[in-house]
Amino acid sequence: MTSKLHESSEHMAQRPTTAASVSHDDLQSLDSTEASLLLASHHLGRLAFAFEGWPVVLPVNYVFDDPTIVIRTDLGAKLSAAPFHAVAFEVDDSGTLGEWGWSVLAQGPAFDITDADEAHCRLLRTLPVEPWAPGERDHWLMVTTVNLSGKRFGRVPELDGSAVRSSGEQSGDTR
Amino acid sequence: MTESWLEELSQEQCLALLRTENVGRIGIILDGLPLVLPINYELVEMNDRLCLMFRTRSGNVIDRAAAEVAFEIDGVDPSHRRGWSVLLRGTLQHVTADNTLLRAHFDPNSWLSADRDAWLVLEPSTISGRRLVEATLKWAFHESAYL
Repeated sequence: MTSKLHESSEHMAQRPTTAASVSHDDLQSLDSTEASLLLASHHLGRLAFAFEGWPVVLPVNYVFDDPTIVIRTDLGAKLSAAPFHAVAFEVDDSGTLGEWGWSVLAQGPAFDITDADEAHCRLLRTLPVEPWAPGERDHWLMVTTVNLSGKRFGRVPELDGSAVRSSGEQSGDTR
Repeated sequence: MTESWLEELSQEQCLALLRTENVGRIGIILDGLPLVLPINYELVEMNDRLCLMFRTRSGNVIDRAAAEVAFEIDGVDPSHRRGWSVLLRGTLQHVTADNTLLRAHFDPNSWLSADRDAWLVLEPSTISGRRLVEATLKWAFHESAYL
């Protein structure tokens, strides 16, 4: 047991050093303008929905066409049958050392518009959404944002301006 | 456009990725509605037992969520159309052990630690992962060398 714990702490040592923990007072709510701005300036998010009683979280590419989030993904045969009446959609980014961070959470109903014939849906399908993982059964999903909220801490480059910008769009690039 | 494809990651590859990260997203269901939130975590591997430790504020949405949760980590390089994701599914339980002991061994070192006094443990029932591979990419070594 001791050796396993030791191994575990070695793994931690390989990670980037964590910046000094930020005080809870520094966690602030984003207003809707800030949340929309961050949603519009990113293109990778995570879609969450309940399937057979369990939450599922999937990374997806998207374009935000206020107030609609347009997603293209291959759900696979199983998840194509998932009920999308209430989904959550999340986008986040953070500094490499955790010195700043933000997340935006959108909630609302989702609709599969892959074959929808309405003019609005046809228009949404012209948006430049690159599917992260191209598949044979690519689906177009539309999430209508009913609730939009977000949190932030530290100095967020996109909101506060800064000479030091995140080197990539997503936190995944910088870690 | 370059053709890319998805491949399944092995359990060992998923674990290797879980060891390298310290922030992921937890998917929960609260009052019937799904939520997904970023959270720091610590992977605990002990006596063939595997779990994730979290710290959060008592009474917040994660603390109040249903026990059935999902947890996701990913790394995506959009410019090269490469990336991976690991998804865990499992049950979330409150830890009532002495905080000092937990801090000494299992602290996820949350970026925001003030008032994060509710300790939670996720016991995964399934772990799966996928990686997007760019077709033009030639692996110089066996793929496990990159993890």
